[in-house]
Amino acid sequence: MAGRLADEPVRDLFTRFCREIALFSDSMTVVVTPFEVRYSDPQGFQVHVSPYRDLFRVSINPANPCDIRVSGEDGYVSALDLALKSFLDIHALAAGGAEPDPGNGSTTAPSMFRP
Amino acid sequence: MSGEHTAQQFDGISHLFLSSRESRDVLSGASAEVTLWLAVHGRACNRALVAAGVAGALSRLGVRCTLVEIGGGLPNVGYYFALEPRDYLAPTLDESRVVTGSVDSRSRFVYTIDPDRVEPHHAGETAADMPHVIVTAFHHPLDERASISLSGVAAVAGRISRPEAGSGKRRPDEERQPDGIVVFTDSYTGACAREIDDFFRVPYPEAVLFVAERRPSGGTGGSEMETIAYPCELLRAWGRRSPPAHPFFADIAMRYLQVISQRRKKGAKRAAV
Repeated sequence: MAGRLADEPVRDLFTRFCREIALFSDSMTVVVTPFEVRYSDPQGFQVHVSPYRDLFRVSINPANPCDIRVSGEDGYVSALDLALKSFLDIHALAAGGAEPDPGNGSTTAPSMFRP
Repeated sequence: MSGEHTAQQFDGISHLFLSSRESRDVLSGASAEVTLWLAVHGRACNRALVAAGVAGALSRLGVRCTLVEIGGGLPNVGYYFALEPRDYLAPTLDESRVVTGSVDSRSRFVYTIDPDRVEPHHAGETAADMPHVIVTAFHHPLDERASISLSGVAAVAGRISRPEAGSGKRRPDEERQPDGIVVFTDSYTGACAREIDDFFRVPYPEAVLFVAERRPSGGTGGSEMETIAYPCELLRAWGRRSPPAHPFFADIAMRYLQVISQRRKKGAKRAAV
């Protein structure tokens, strides 16, 4: 799947991103389709990663998606941070409700492209 | 585990709780320095969360704490101490990167995938007149990708330990055996219990060993290990970008300090508290 990315640095970011998502949980399921890699776990976390020629798209929680296009380290950091936050929040909700973040603890300013 | 400890549930020894002042007194003494390992079995117990929680609890008890979290996987403690994403995610882009920061005005944290990357200066200045707890948190089984070994884990504490602590003759890069080990696991039964016993109790018979279970089994797997219930409500703090302050972590910290103090008063080799 990474071979679809012509740019080597972006290909490296794709590989790293996919590896980190897979490590979120011992029960993460990975499904590879012709166009994307799909991650999910029993608590409802979902991420789809779709490689294109010069970038890859990260779709977090496809039911109510947040799409991020990654073509460099800034996009990688934003996408991975948001995916992690989504994963942690979903697990917190599954336990009976997430505790709110203190003040404005989250300072992520991602470059997102919503559909 | 030594014969002086027998299997008992946490509420059976609640009378051993210490006040904050007493906790500081437990480690009083200019050269007092102890090491604590947090071995997290699987990812369900959230290594970074428990590491941040224990470090914060120890620091609130008035002792200086240096937390070293090692091994791959997210989140890491940088997330729970509210580092910018670019900073706490740096090791995912470069495995040689070391992330450091402050727990509070008294204590520091260090995160890296490879424990060999930890250098003494990462821990910051250690006041010689303040008791010091070195907490090392890692996944169990150890991260094969980073070729982490228990020997490497022990060497981390040796590198950041004060040279004058302990015997005073130990070289800075010498391994520092753990004074205590807390294993966090789903359920401490059967094969899991035997594996934990073999992996930690056999090579470190002098270490105080506790097991925190997410799903209490009601038994001890035939072992004499003390067990603590890992509160399910801790999951609610998973997404929060701040260290958890649940009483569970204060309980672990106080119990550990109490037991270490008792052992030392009975004439262990290191400086008595």
